[in-house]
Order: sequence, then C-alpha cells, then structure tokens
Amino acid sequence: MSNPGIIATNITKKFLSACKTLETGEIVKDGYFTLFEAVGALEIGDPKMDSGCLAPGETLEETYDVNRQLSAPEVLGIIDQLLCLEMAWHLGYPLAQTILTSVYIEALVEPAPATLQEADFVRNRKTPRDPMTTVLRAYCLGLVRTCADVLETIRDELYYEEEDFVTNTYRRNLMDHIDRYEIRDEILSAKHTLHELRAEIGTDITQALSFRLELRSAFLRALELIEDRGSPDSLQIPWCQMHSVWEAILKLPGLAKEVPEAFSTKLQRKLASSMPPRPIVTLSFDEAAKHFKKLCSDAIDAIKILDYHDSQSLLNFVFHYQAQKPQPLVYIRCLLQNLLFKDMVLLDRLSIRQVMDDDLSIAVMPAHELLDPNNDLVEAPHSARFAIAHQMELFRKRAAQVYIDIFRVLCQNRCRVRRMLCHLIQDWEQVQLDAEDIDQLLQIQIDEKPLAYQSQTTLTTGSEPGYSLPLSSWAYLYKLRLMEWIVQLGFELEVYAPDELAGMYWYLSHLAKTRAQHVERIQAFTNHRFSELRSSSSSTSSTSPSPSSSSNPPPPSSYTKPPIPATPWIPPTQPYHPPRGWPVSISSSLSDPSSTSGAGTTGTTTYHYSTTPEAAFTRSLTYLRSTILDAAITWEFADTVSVIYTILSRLSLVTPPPRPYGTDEQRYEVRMKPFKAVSLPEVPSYQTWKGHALGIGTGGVNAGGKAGKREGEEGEGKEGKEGGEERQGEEKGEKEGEEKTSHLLKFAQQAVGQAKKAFEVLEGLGEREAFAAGGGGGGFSSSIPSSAPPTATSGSTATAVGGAGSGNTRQEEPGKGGHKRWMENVSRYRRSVEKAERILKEGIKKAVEMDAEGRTTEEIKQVVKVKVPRSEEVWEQGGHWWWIVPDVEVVEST
Amino acid sequence: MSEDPNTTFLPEDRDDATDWLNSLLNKNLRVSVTDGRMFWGQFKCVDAESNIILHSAYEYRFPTSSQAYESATSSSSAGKVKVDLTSRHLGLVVIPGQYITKIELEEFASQVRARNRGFGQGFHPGWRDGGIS
Repeated sequence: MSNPGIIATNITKKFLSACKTLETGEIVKDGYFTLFEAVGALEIGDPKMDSGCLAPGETLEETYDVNRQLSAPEVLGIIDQLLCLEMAWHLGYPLAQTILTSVYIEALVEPAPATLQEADFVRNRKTPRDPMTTVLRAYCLGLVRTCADVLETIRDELYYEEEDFVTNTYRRNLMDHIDRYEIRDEILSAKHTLHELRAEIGTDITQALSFRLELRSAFLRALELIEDRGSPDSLQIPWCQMHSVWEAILKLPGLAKEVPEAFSTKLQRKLASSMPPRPIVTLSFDEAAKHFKKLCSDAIDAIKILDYHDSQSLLNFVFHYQAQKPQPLVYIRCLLQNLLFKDMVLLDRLSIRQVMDDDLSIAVMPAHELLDPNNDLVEAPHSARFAIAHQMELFRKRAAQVYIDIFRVLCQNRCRVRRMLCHLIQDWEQVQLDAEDIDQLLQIQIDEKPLAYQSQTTLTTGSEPGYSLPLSSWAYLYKLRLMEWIVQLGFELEVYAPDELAGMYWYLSHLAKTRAQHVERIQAFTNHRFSELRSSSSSTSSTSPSPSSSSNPPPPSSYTKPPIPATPWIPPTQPYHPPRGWPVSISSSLSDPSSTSGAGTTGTTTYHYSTTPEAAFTRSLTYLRSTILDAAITWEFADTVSVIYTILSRLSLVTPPPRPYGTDEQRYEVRMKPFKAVSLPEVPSYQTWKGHALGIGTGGVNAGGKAGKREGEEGEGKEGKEGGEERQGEEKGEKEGEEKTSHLLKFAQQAVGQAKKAFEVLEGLGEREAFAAGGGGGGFSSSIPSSAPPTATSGSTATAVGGAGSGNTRQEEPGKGGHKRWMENVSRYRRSVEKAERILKEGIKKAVEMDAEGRTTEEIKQVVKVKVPRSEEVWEQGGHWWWIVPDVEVVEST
Repeated sequence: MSEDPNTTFLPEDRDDATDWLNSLLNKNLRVSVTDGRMFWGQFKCVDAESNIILHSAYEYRFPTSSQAYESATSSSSAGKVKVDLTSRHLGLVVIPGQYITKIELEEFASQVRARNRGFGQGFHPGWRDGGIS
C-alpha cells in the first residue's frame, strides 16, 4: 500500500459534506456500474454478511493456545473431530466449515510453511515438542496433504462446484509442495514416539492413536499410487488397508475426549472469502466412519475398472457403478474419470481408437475390413484401403468426443447425468448424420451389395434392399440407448408425476421397441456377412443362416429359440483376453504410430480383440442377441407398468392433482423437449401418446397379440375412431368400458409374463455374455454378451440358464468383482417384475372385478389401497427404481 | 498526507459537490470504519447518507494484539504499517455511512503534483483501469 508513487489524501470531511449536499435518493455513480450489481455487494457491518464484523468487545484473535499440553484422549478427540470434518468436506461442505475451523490446522498452514520442519503449530519453537503434540502434528500434516491431493484429483475432472463439491481453499496452502514421503516419515516417527509412551498412556489409547496415524499414512500412499499409476492390484492395497484400519478403529470406541474449543468459526474471518461465518458442520463419528468405509470400498471397486475386457463391459461397469445408491462420493467419481481418461489414455493403456474400434466391432462390424488396422499402412492414394483408412479416421475424429462423453457424463451426479444426456443425444444425432455420409462413401469403396432382410418381429414386415450403414447404425444404437436412459432417469429422479407414468412408460416401451428393431437390422447384416464368411472359408458349417432366418424372438416362446442360426461354437483356443499385464495386442500388428495418431489415439499398437473372425462374429452376435433381450424386457415390462397405471387411472385410483395452469398437452411438450431435437425416432404426436396412455390403442387389441400391439402407425390411425368408441362406451354405460379394462388387465398380465420369461434368460447370462466382465457389474439395461458361449443357441431356456455358467471359464473367477453388481441389479429388477406380477394377480384384478360389478370408486378404494411409491421407497423395498410399480394392497374389510 | 487540503462543501455548493464526487469515481479509496478495519477498493457509488460502494475491495485489519501499532496508525498514515496488515479480498462491498470514520483518496504522486500546479483536474485518468473515461 505504501508506494512512493502513491499518495493518500485524507478527504473525510470533504467527502462527507459533499454527500450531505445530495438529496435523499440521489446518488453519484459510475456510469458502467448498475445498481443491479450493487445488490450483490457485501454489506460491511452487517453480522449476517460481513464475516469480518466483530461484536462489541469481541476479539478476532483466537484465545486457544495451540501450545498447551494435550492429554492422549484429547489428541484422540481432536483427531476424531478432524475425521468427521474431513468427511463432511468430502460430502460437499466447504473447507471453511470443516477442517479449516480447526485451530491446529490453521496454525499449521498459516502462514504457509516453506519446509516441513517449519510446519508446526508454533513457529520457531524454542523447546522441543511434547510427544502428544508430535502425534497431532504428524496427523494434521497428513490430513492437509491428503486434502490437497483429493482436491487436485477433483479439479482435474468434470464436477460441479457447489452441486457436488466446493474446491475453494480460501487461499490457504495445503502443503502440496511438501513431499508425501517426508510426511509419511513424520507419521512413522510419530508412531514410534507414541509406542514409547505406551506404558504411560495405556495400550488401548496407544492403539487407537496408532490406527489413526496408520489410516493417514495409507491414505497418502493410496493417493500417491494413483498419481504414479502403479499396477492396478497395488493401487487397491492401501485402500484395503484403510478399510481394515477402520474396522479396527471402530473396535476401540469411547476413548476420546472432545476438545470443542480447538475448533472455531472465528477462523473463517481470516479466510479469503466474503462468506459470512457459518456453523461448523457436525457429523457424528459413526456416520463419518460409515462414509469413510464406503469411500474405501468404492475406491477399491473403482480401481477394478482398469481390468478392461471389452468396450461394452467397460460401459456397463461405469453405468452400474454410478447407479449405486447412494452414489459414490464426488472424489470417487472423479477418481473413476481419472482412471478412465487420464491424459487421454483410456485405463492407462488403451487409446480411444482401440476402445472405439472394439466397440464398433462388438456392435456393428465384427471382423470388418473397415476396421482392419493394416489399412493404415497403405500409402497408395488410389487404393481403396487408403481411402477407407482416411474415411475411418475422419469418422473416429468425429465420434471420439461424443463416445468419450458418455463415460464422462455417467460419472456425474444423477441429476446432471440426465441433463447432460439430453444434450448428448443431440451430438449423437449429428454424428449419426455425418456417419451416414461416411457410410455411403465407404460402401462404394468396399463394394457392398445391398441386402433385403426380413424382420419377423416388428413393425417392418420386410424391407427394400438396403446397405448396412454400419457407422450410422452404431451411432443410432447409442442414441436410442441414451434416450431410454433419459426416460429411465426421469423415473429415478421423479421427474414425472404419478398420472404421467402411464404415458412415459409407454414411451419407454416405444423406444425399446425401436431399439430392438434397429438391432435386428444390424443382426441381419451381421448374420449375412457371417454366412458369407463361413461359406467362403469352409463348407462344414451346419446351417447357413439366411437373412430371413435371423430370427429374433420377442414373441415369448421364441426367447428360447436360437436367435442365431446354429452358430458352431468356436472354442477360445487362445485366451480371449490376455491376462492382466500382457500387452493388449493379441493379433496385434504394429502400426505406424503416426497413422493412428488421429482422434486422440496414443497407442502404438493396434489390435484385434478377436483372435479369429469367427470369434469376433460370435461375440458380436452374442451382444446383439442380448441387446435385443434387454430391449425386449424393457418394452414388455414398460408396457406392463404403463398399463397398470392406465387401469388405475381409469378406475380413478390414481388421479391427477388439480393443475389450473397447464394442460396435459403442454406438459407433454415439455417432457418430450429433449427428444424434439432428434429426427429419428420421431417424437410421437400428443394424440398418439395420449391414446396409449389412456390405453385405447392397447386395450382394443386382442390381448397379448404381439403383432397387434406393435403396429405403431396403424394404432395411430385407429386412435380417433377408438377414442370415439371410448366416449361412446362411457355414455352407454359401465359395461363396455369395463370390458376394455379387463382386456387391459389381461394384456398386462401377458406382458409381465413375457418380461419374466425373457428375464429368466437374462439372469442366466454369465459375466461375459452380460458384458459385465472385468472389474465389476454389468447390468441389466445393457446386458450384452460377448464372445461367450452360445447360451441360447439351442435348446430350452433352462439349459441356456444352466449352461451359461459352466460354459464360461472366467465367469466365477474370484477377485474380479465378478458381475456381482450386475447380478444385484438384475435381482432388483426381478423383484420389480415380481411385484408387478403380484399386484396384477391380486390388487388390480380385484379392483377391475369390482369395477365390473359396478361398484363406485369409493367402494373400490375401501378394499384396494393404492399408493405410488417414491423412487427411494422403491429402492428400499428392494426394487429397481427405474420401475415405479405402485403398491396395490387388497384390504379385506367388507 | 493526513491533512485534508480542501474545505467542506456547503449545501449551496451542490453542483460543485456532485462534480467533485463524480471526479472520484473509479479511484481507489481507503475507507476506515468504526471497528478499526480499513477497506481499499475502487469507488463506484455513493448516496446522500455516504453509503459507499467499493469494487474489488480488500479488507485490512490492524493487528489487535499490539496496541503500539494502533497508536502508530492513528497518528500517521496507514501505509507505514503495511507489512503487518492482514488483508482479505472481499469483492464488491457496501460500507454504510454510519460506520465510516475516515476516507482517504489514493492518487499517483504525479497526479497530485499536476493538480497542485495547475488547477482542477477536470478529468480523472483512473490509474487502475485505463479503460474507464
């Protein structure tokens, strides 16, 4: 402030008198300054806003003496309080309300110590530290340093300030310049000091303190390893240690003595923040311990992501990992992002290109010449392969970001996930359009012949010959999946009101059907290519699949039918996945790094995951089959739930709240807004949607008639007429409407039965077939088989279920996390399905019967209790909270 | 410069007063308040009750523990004890007129000289932000 070039003039009197000449309400202000801004100004002297304001007689200085003698229980008490505060910080409270309220931490970090030796509660100490202070200091050093590391990890990734986490350090230096080793040495020597005191302070308390030091040391080590990227197995070790140390800590309760005066909100006034003083966040020790233990176990699970098997398992891992309730803490979510994308190297060893090519190969083009890495080696500009390499590179560049974004988005908090997915589908839409152009260029290069295929299941009853358009098909598949997620997350996040559920589940079913149709199309082309391959390579193949036999089995009975025409199972002569530590490339060909350098690829090797084209095809077909299975379950069950709500609303058991300020149509517009920007699939018209929500289209159909039910277009045409009928029916009397309702009931019962059947197949999937291989769970919503054994190739569902497990050599492999998470998801799902089945048999049936008997709504309500649960309640009941199945109980009263 | 070189304004000098206040806009002021703190920031706005709005303000607090410094600061300019001041960035602040004990204007020495030499610098080249004017 005192600068020789600057002169300060006292203008107090003149200023104040000048102000007095102004009239009330008149102001003098800078033209660029708006009073609107002034609203945000901090009012000095207002104790609610001005953190620096002192009450009369209050001093700023903390009176607590950091040099006082501490007893062992007191040190323990302070450390425990610090642990609680640290956890509160992880949970999203600012440092100012958590660990920076500690007098000891403040003394340690302010002013910022240049060296470790300098970092002490009392600077330039004349007398040696007493042993207890040494312990506390070592602990605090470790704490501050871990916070710095945690902060750095979080800041490097995508997270939402305030929403998830507050990264503000209020200009406090968290010792990130001090070596972790040195701090760990301090902790170690503090432990020695502590043990020398054992006789004096007692064994238990020595143990208790020692565990806490251990915890800190392990935490530091864990963060260090993540930074240095040791082997995945070693990364887990310190987290496991921390977890077990916590167990030990909890076995020694009640030794601590609280020292509340060592924490003060006054310290906030010294922080670089305009925030007024806020209370210290208090978390009970037990609660903190619970969160801490979950943090450790979540971290252990997260690290398992490095165990990469295939792109779809990876996606499933992230998807199901993040779907946990409660969701992992923000640090863990950022850690997962860090492990996934650090320096644009996926999982520390894969380039984006490798993962994307793997994904393309699984989804749309197994063993396809477009994916041949050797294309990159061709230098002749007239060669088709040169052109292919060029176009593919263009495509990869175009799609890499949106592909990676899926993973990134899934690592956000749940509300954000939905919101960001809404944006992401627009990007995918664009990628799909661009991919269509590239597809058309490529199909000329590879001289593809158009193919007519027959779909047995869905709207399309056959088609004009078409091209496979693999790249845009891939993009479309992802887009559809994201759209389903958006709707599903809407249920999870309770975006929709109970009376909207019928319509939204119908829309979900609509999307799932569209996905199934699309996958069928892909499957037809893949089967065709596969049969060409086999006929060209050998004549031993048992059955040659013709396009028309690419059966896809939504009709219930055909779930058990072999969706792929008897593909001879090719035993994995080579390990499908290399054991960890092996180079990724199996049949890798070294490729010129420069040729792979586009699209963020950094790998020096390209690879084919599939050892043989046959294996690649098998893997892809398994994936396609399970995707159809997944889509089928989704649509059947969505239909079920939709109809349940339709019945309930018909019987006035679920009634909409009064909504004077909007119409259903307006609300529908809002619900569909995210999907409006997408050209395909088109958003159904309001009339169509409303018709389905009212059960008009569905009810009119011969119950259970799959074919009838799926005619989207037709249904639309009928709508008007049936709507008319419906009204007439109501006029005519109860009789007709009631019949329709009972149709609906029958339909729902059949749909749920089919969902259940399909489900049994799903449950039987091994981790490879479920594409849940590797670190963790795969999941329901994308149960995608990989190169796995031919589960449903032949025979009954039962054998498929039984055979899947045994046929899969790696399935039971311990320590992989298995597909435990996937299984848990499936079992929740199952409970939801069973609940729907039960209420259809009991409560809803009863209600429909009573309605048929001409009872009034009031009378029905006496007997049948209906409640639409919150999504948390669904979770607590063990259900899947994407499926808000209502509670319908029959109360036998009259 | 502890002396106020100018006289006070009387109500009839209203236009002069307003002009003068306008000339201060965007200059750096040091405003001391009753609890001993001092705020330093760009002057943006003032009203009849001397409620002052400062932009990009910093809070300076004199060490309460040592009374010696306080006596030192009250007698001479605050600048001399700079090293011991603890500062905090606050951003936009409103200082209610009722708490104000002292207002100081910061200027470059060259500006002061120019004013003393010539008369009435009609315009103010805000030194922090060349952009105003």
